[in-house]
Amino acid sequence: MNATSGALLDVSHLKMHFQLPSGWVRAVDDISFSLGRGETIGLVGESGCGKTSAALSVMNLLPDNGHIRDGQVVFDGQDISHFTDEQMRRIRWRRIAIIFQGAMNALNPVYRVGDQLMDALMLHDRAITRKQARQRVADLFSQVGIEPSRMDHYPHEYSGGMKQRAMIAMALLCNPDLIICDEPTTALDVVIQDQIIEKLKELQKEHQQGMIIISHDISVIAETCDKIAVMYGGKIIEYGRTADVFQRPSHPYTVGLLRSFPSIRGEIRALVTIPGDPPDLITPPPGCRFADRCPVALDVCRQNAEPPAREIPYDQTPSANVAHLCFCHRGGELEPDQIDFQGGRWA
Amino acid sequence: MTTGQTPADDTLIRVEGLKKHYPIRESISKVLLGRESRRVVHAVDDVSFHIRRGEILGLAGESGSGKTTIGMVLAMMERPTVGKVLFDGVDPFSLKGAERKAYRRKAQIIFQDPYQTLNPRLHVGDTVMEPLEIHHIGSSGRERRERAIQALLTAGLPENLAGRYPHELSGGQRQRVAIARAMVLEPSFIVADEPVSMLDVSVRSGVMSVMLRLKRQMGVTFLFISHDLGVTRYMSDRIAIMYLGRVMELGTRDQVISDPHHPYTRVLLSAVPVPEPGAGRKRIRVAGEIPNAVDLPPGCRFGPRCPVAHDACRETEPALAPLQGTSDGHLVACHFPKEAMSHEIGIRDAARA
Amino acid sequence: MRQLWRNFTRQKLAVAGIILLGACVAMAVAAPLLATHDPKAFSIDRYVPPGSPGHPLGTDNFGRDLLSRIIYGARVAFLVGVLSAGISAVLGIVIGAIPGYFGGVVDEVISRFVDIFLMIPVFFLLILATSIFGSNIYFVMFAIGITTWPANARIMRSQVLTLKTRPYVKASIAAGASATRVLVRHIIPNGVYPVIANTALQMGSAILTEAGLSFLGLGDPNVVSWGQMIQAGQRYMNVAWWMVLFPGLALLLLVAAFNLTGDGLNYAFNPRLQRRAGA
Repeated sequence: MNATSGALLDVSHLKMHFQLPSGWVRAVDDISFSLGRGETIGLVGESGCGKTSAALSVMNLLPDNGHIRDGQVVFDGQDISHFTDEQMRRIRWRRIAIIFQGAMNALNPVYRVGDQLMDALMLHDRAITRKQARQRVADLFSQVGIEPSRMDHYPHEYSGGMKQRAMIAMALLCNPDLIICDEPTTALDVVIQDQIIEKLKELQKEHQQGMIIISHDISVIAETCDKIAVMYGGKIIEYGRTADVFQRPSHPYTVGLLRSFPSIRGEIRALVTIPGDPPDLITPPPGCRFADRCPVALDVCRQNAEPPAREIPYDQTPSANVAHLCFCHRGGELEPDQIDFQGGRWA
Repeated sequence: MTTGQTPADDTLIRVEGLKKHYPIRESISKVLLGRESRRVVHAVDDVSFHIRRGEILGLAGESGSGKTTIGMVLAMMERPTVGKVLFDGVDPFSLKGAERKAYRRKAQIIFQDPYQTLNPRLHVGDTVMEPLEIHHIGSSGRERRERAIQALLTAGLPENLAGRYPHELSGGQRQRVAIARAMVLEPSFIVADEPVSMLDVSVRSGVMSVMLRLKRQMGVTFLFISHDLGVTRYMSDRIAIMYLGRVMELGTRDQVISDPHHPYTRVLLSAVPVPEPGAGRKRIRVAGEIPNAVDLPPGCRFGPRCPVAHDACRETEPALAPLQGTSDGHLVACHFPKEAMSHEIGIRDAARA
Repeated sequence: MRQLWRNFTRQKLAVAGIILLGACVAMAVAAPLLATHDPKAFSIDRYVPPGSPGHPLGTDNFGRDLLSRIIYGARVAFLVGVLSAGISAVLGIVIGAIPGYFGGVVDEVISRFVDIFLMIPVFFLLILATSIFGSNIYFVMFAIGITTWPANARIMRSQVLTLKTRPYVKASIAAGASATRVLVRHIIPNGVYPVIANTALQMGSAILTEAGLSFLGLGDPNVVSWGQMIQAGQRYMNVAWWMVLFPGLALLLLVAAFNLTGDGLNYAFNPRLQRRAGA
């Protein structure tokens, strides 16, 4: 990974596992990525790949049975992965904020929306008066595109899009350095989705926060993120600048994922189905976790657990400091067109 | 109204002037005071179209567009408030008893949520066999079982899945079981209501290809309902764009996606993100959010938000009709279709700076 | 199924409840083998205190062995519990499912009917009924059954309202299924769980009701029931307190067992109720 001493967030070899009666679920199994100020990274993957778990690990917002078992999360120079609850509480919301999936449902229906945000603000900033808090919330509402007069309305009077904007405002309350957005556009209509994306980018440009966007929708990631980390089975299998990864996807899973997405542009061609199921994270298979679904897997893939990071050369001028990495035994060998998903077992 | 360009025997489903309104329950005080509730939710508000035999009609729109309601009416799960639905020339809602039950063999439905679409307490095989039992098809349990297994195979599932419970199956597999269940009666028409929205992206294409195969090899007609335009484009022969209970535009897939006439269609298409970094998508700005379907604005219902609305748009609601001088089956409900937009309102570049 | 079992066994109290229940059932079934004396046999050993040889729990005013009477009393208790709650469950399921499924006028009418029934004070009605019609134990069970079903009906109705919207139910309707088939095959099997949990609780409460009636002297005198024993023992509290204590304890334990099991079932069906706030 790039040695980014000035990075806002530097995650290295992070492992976070859940403890179940039946064993340890290796939800996040050795991932590394970094993020600078004003940068956006997208965590892409399908259900069970660990992207939400990874984000929660960054904030140490884990359930009782979740434990960080290895690795570091260096935020603004400090390793926060071993912070105590008290230390984390000082960081959360003030410096790292998160917008959860389905956050629009996180608003308490019996309180006015404005009051809920003001309460949150006053909780984190003891010095602020109610009047000041109200002013700040009104400012934020304007910034996210809600009329400040709607502060005194109740959640049921808000549309889905407005609730999502309110949640974005809530995340911005304390002017954090890092915002994590978990599926920010799912469950919203297309036009509203677009407005939310636009708004997030606008806000980031102004405040220069780092953003982590988690999504299964690669088109959203393509448009909003500078860097992309494709996750599968708890690991990052491809990582780099968004433009580089899309231009030359090197990991077979990335290729499959990109080709299974029907776009409204371009010619219509047969979509890829990746046969099989995601791996068992309690007892992962020996070798590469994607091997049994991979159309170009070799014997070495099924045996050796750690596909090495191969750097994929740039087709165009490289961007500063961001290598395009592919975690595959055959990384970089094959052109995307040579990875063919025809045939295979029932999906 | 649709202009009758297709010969009648090519048409499987004809919808004429369909309206579905849901009355709103007013508060107790209003009821007690005797103020009758006249307010209704105009879920579907005068829709007419036809579906040809063996084609897939994509019904696309955002929430409140009425697409799911139309699907429910065509699958006979809801009655029209006003208007007619003709299936092969017959109005199924006029049928009673055994005749109506027989109609159900011809039209089936697939639902959105794969995790709730199967009875958790029944084996997959039993679920697929049930329609056969209901219609007393097959002379023995064994024969029914055979047919059920055939249906599972058609949906791309292995035979041994029949003895499993739904919770042992993945989302994609469950949805295929739902397809098998719909197919076991050998219907000529299937309503697919957002069948892939809740599936993982790499699994969607598998389920979609099953449906495409059913269409191509067995001539099944589909009404494919979706909010995802990319998916709709992939699956459909023709597409209808709906807004607030009405069809705004109707045409072939290429007509609607590549040469949209209606401002709403163009707004919608411009809002879809594309998986090409730096592609420079140009979004068309539109004001506000989708209003509720209860208090509709006068005139064109998209008027208040339309970037190119004129005064005339506030007066009369435009009918769904072909562009002047054309007869290629491309219909628009707009007083000023294909209005040039670039100089009217600001188009912002959606690409990241 | 297995998930339900796991949820259930995670609660220690529920497990204790069901073990206790199991023990009582075993005791009731094996009564002829376990009881040392004929529960109805009079003897000259009257007012024998507990701990005496041959009579671990003592004897009553007629010299009947208390332990044997308690063991046989378990049979009556279970009979009352199971039959009453059983009738109540069946009635509740049917009367609850129909309005829930059909809605409209049917729902309005039947729900009002259920509401009226809910207003009836069960215990007083039973006192009235047994005073008029006599106190046959089967009549009492029947009466309890037909007065306690409204709670089950309410539960079933709300379950049906929810399940009606499930896609698999709609799919069955779309395939042409009759209302009966939809209810019997899809809705009731999936919605009956809370009724089962409530039935367990109702078993306990039915036993208590019967005990209460017996205590008031309205019980069936031909039957060996714990309630009867307590009623009979009242008069002799000064002389033979064990006549009241042991049947009372037995009642307590059995009803507690039913309640713990019922609660456990409720939580097993709804694990979210288990988790403490903030998790």
